[in-house]
Amino acid sequence: MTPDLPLIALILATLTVSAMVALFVIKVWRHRRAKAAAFRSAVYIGALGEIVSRLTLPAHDRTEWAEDPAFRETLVDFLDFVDGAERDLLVELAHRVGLVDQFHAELVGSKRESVRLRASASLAEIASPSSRKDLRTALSDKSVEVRISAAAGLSILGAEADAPAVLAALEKEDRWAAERMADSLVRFGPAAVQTLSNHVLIAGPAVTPVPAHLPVVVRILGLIGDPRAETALLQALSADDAWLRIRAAAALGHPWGQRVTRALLQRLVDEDWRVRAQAATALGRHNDRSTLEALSRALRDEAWWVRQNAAASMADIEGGIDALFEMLDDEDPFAVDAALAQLMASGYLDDAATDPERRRLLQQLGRPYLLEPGVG
Amino acid sequence: MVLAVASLIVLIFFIAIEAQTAVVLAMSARALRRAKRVTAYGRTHDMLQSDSSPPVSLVVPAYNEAAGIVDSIRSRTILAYPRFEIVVVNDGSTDDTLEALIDAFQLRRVDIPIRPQLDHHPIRAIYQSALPINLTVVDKENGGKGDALNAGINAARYPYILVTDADMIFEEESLLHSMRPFVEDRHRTIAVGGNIRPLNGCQVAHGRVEEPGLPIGLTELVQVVEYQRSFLAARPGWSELNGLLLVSGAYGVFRKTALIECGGFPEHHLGEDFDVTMRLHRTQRDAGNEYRIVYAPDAVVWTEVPKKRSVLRKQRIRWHRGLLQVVSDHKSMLLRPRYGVVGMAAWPAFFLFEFLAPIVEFIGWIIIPIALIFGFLNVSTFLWLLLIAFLLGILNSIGALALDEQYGHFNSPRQALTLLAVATMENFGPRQQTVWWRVRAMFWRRGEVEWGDMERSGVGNIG
Repeated sequence: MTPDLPLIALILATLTVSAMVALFVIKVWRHRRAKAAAFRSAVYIGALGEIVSRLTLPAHDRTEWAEDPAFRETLVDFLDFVDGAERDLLVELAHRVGLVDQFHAELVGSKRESVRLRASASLAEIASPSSRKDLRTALSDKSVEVRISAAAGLSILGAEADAPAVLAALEKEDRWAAERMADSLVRFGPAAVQTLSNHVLIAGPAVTPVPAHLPVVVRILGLIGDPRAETALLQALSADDAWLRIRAAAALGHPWGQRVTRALLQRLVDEDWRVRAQAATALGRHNDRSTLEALSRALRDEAWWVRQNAAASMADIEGGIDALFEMLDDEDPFAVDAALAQLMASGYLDDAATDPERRRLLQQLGRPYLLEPGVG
Repeated sequence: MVLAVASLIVLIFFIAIEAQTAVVLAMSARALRRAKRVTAYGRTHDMLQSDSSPPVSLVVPAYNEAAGIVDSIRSRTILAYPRFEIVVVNDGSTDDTLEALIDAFQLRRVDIPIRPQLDHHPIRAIYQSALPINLTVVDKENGGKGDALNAGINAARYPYILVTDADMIFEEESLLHSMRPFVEDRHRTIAVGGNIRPLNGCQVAHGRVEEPGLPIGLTELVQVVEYQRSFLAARPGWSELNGLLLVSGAYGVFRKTALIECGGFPEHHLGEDFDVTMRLHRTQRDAGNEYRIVYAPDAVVWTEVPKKRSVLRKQRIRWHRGLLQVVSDHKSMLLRPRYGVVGMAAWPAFFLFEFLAPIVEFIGWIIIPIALIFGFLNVSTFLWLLLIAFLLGILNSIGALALDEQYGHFNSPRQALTLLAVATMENFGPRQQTVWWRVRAMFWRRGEVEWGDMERSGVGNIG
């Protein structure tokens, strides 16, 4: 069978010309629409600025504003820049013009992921208490982006009763979605500490395989920084799973007392270099002179990151600079480099050109070029 | 008779290229729609405050870039990303590249130890900035771009490496968008490619594109449409299938351990980015790892494209020679089921429609006129097939322009008309010219490798 080439060509020609015309019309229409939207956005910015400066809402509810995408975007953007009474006023405006109801309807009713995503993201920004129920429902949405937005919205609202729901949602996520959701959970602050600590304690130190969300929970506890989490974090620091220990070591960078400091010192010789690196950093935040000796030993670690973190921590601890200078005589060249790099970064070699002692030191170390004008 | 059949095969091959492009374009449309949604509402900005955003080392190889290197590095220091360092590798420049960097960023010589995980030419000195920016400059002996990249990777401290050219202009959030796939799926993601756009015709100020625009010359305009076809109509589609064969060396983020496992960038290679992407696929598949190489359409960077035909010719010949090297080095991956989508779909498609296409098209130029003259080919059939092939080509270009629609660039009536005209015209002349350059590229002795000789205006001087 011979294909009807003229017919195929005719169809393609028609398609090509139609596509060209359609694309041209769409581009020009978009161009004009974008110009008009930019103008309307400017008007809305002016109106919202007026509302915020006068702390008064318009006498008549402008429900037609809610229909305009330019208003929705402008309002949501504006909410980023205000807080307190000004923010409350704009949230009330969103209610009055029917925008919040519109987003609620879209979040629970729309089949289109993009619409639900826009609704959840906008509700998260508006953070109206009336959205709690729908946002909790959205925690089980089939789209991961919608779920993350819903968690963000609930965390901005910060109701203690919602923390377990967000934690339960986080448990079902894979590790990296959980990480993103955790950024929201941190906003709950101390209200979430008890729930999260209990969760870690119940899991125990020997849990295998480690659920993806557990290291995330440990990280959140560290970021919140509440001493009530100490026991749970110390348990995680002695866990069999390296990732859990890494996160626990990082989370314990708070000067909560000798028990934590001793536990971190033990982790400076952990088999996993990432745990050692995080423990070194955490110890710097404890500012305890008694840790300097162990940190000096960590300067000889085989992992660059451990050496760098240990040197940085020593610089932060009282008496640590002297210890770093002492390390310049060490026989391990990598330890000397770590100490030297930190001393340079901390500005202790800036006067090397004029200070005879520093000058002698650099020459002895085989780095006289650091004394060249404009270089060292 | 043989001539007639050969002529028909050439024309049908021509149509098959366009049909394949159309299928990939449809997949790209789907991928771009999702990317747009995620960018708009996906809380990407949370990454700016998150301590879980992985740190990145920007490795910038430079060879005789004194004219624009300072502006270029300065524009990178203000990227929106929580933690990154810049590692510039001066690959034995013969101009004042190093001196310009020393003066501008108050560099001072340091003696930091470097773990030699990848081979490269000797390092002469390492400098770090006394300013509050995380900048390291590695001064080494000349060894080519791949060699410079390897030195930069060794000097880089962070677990992710952004490989980029010195003359690129970044959008403020390009790094943020290109790191998002790593944050979403850190276990499997080993590389992410970015969306490269021609800078010619754009208004640039303070190292930023203020207003995207179209160039005036036909040579540059054709490249605008070509870049849209490649970066919007092809790469998103192949990325969907995990069959992305090229993470551009002009802008690509790699997991450092994956780069080291595959041996880093090759020395004396004209397509080092292509080769390294293929080796990433090969090593991951050979090891039985689950992995993905992703394209991030919202990670937008801008680059100057050749204005003169002579420069474009050199560039295209160099690119095609790089392709020839890669085809020669990785032919064993062709049609091998163990290499999955890459071995069974992406690589064969690339082999057929990128490597073989210029040969087939060139043969067509010779045999079709002969077949027509001697009456072996029906003139009417030939003309209809030719028309169909051209129409498919134009349709594909229009498809790429339509995909670009979501970015809101080039929407004024004049710009829209210009692009549509170029999408049509490029099929009559520029396309054949490119084929000729690619055929010429095949007559070359392997081993002749040099840095690109692109003539640049300097990133601040384009407008």
